[in-house]
Amino acid sequence: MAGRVRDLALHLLDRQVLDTDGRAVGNVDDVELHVPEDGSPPYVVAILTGPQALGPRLGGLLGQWLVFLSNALARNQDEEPGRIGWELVTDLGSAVTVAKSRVELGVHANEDRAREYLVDRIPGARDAGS
Amino acid sequence: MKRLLVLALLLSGCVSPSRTDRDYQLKAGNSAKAVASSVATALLGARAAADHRTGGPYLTVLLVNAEKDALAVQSTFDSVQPPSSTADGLKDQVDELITAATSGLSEMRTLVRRGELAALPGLAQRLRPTLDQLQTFADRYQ
Amino acid sequence: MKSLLKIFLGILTAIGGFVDIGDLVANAVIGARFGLALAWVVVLGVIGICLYADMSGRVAAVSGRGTFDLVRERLGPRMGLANLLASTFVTFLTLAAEIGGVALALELATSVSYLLFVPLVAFGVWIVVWRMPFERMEQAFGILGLCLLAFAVALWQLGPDWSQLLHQAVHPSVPDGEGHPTYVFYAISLFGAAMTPYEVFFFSSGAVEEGWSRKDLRTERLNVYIGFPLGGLLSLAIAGCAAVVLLPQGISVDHLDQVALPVVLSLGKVGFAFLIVGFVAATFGASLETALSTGYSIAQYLGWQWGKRTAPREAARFHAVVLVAIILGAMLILTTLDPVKVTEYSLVFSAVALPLTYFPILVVANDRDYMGESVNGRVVNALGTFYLVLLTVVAIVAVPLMIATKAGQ
Repeated sequence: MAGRVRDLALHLLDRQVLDTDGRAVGNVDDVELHVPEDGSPPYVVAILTGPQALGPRLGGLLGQWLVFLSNALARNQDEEPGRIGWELVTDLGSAVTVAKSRVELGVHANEDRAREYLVDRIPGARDAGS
Repeated sequence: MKRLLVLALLLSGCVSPSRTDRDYQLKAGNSAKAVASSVATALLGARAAADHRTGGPYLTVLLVNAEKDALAVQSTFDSVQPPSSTADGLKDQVDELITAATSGLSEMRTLVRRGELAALPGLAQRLRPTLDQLQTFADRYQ
Repeated sequence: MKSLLKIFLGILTAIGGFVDIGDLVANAVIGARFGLALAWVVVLGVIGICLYADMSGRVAAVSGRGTFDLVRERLGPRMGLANLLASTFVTFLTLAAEIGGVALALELATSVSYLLFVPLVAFGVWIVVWRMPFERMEQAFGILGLCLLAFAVALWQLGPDWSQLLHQAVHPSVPDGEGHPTYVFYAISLFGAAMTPYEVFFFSSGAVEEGWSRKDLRTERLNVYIGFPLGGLLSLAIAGCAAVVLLPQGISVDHLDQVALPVVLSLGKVGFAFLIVGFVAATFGASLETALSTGYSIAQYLGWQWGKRTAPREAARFHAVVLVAIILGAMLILTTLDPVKVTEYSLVFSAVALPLTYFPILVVANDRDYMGESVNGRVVNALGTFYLVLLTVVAIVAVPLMIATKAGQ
């Protein structure tokens, strides 16, 4: 990937991530940086999304609470944050577009849970409003 | 020791704690005002009924709420101990008025529930003096 | 011709949708106690909401994004979270109050206890969010809300001394027997009623859902600048009715039945019928808006798929949040907390949340990255900043005043 320099905070963090169908995937809650051993500047390797990524970034009690809540929903103490490899990013405009669809990306643990345990059980879940 | 205690108690009765008395007067005044509001609401409702402006359901809700409010004010006010003997007299005054109000409201509510709207204006007339007295009292002690 | 109709409908919807339980309660309570001495607060509030609704609508139309999306992007997750928590709490409280309001209105019509209506109302609100068309529902409830014009008609019928009313409004002064702190406290509540946060979220999210673009801006402006002020006039009519009928009788407003009394006395059963329709439409519409707003704000902050246009299973978390919010709101009312009291508290907390809500809008509306050429002009910015300062002052004194005056006792 060509090394274009962008301001991380301004143009990447907290941006909406859209999938290839234009649907919302999540926000850029955090990024994974790779620090090269030879001392050259670190670069972004992946986008992290979801409460497990946002919590630590928010920091403090609030952040911990967010992570705790999400882990409780997952019934898993150490759930990994949703990760989208940087190679999937196709556009960096006012939102970040990635190459795969949401389902393929699979970063959506909570959404899937909400859908499976709650929404799908109610009749009419497949009909779009207008 | 015992004599000192008795003396202290007697003295505390003689010195009129005017601030507490004043507070009690305000409380009495506020209670009278609140009950006056409920009675006035009920009387307006009765007027609407007399002019055939409204039917049962609305009146019922109106009167039930008015009565409920007045009773709540009464119980709150009764739970406060009058601080002195002068205040006692005040309490009796207010109590008499509020009791007249709540019983009148209760009667009105019962009538409406039974659908006997025709008797309402008469009841309202009888409650009017109570309302005036409550308002006078409230104005005096505010 | 068709677009003229659309504009007309939009304005009607804005007028009818302006008044909710907060406005009904605040204006009636204050009219019965202060007459029209606080009318200037309604004017001030209407100007403020027009200004900021237009700003957020413009932001949505130009950038295609909702308010909370951009708040977090522009101001960072921390500020965004503070904004989110404050707004969501207040909007939730308002949602509970609105659900209570619908139940109270139905009680007025049937004399069946309002508590029994609460589950029904909650279900009704949810089913509309789940299944019904967005634009159509907004229009329907907005237009039915116009039945509240019964207040204006009643005021006319009552034949008040207009010069006296006008004098009261134009010479705002603290009436005898009322303290300044109480006056200011009620002014803050009224202000909170006119500028409730959810109106802005809903407006901007609705704009995004309906896919507004630059060419819709003119319609949007008309809706806002004609609809909202007329809605404000309706609020004043409510206060006026209370001032003319209830104030002289020393009646203090604690129940919805007292709010309706002036209309009943002057317009009888017909007026009452219109009023009930208006009450239900206004509060039900506001229930929908607050429920959706709760979902919008959380979903936009966290980057979820949201909205009524996508199938619920594609926006599962959004719908889950809305459902939970409705259930919790209903439960709050079912604790038999007086809905009117809940409303009054929601107004004070709205006032406290106002600066946190409106500040990000002002910031985003000035950001050329999102707005391009459509950034705020100088006048808008000057006014917007003035309001922000005002809102901050209001927010700081609101709770202390509430405590000091014992919530306006």
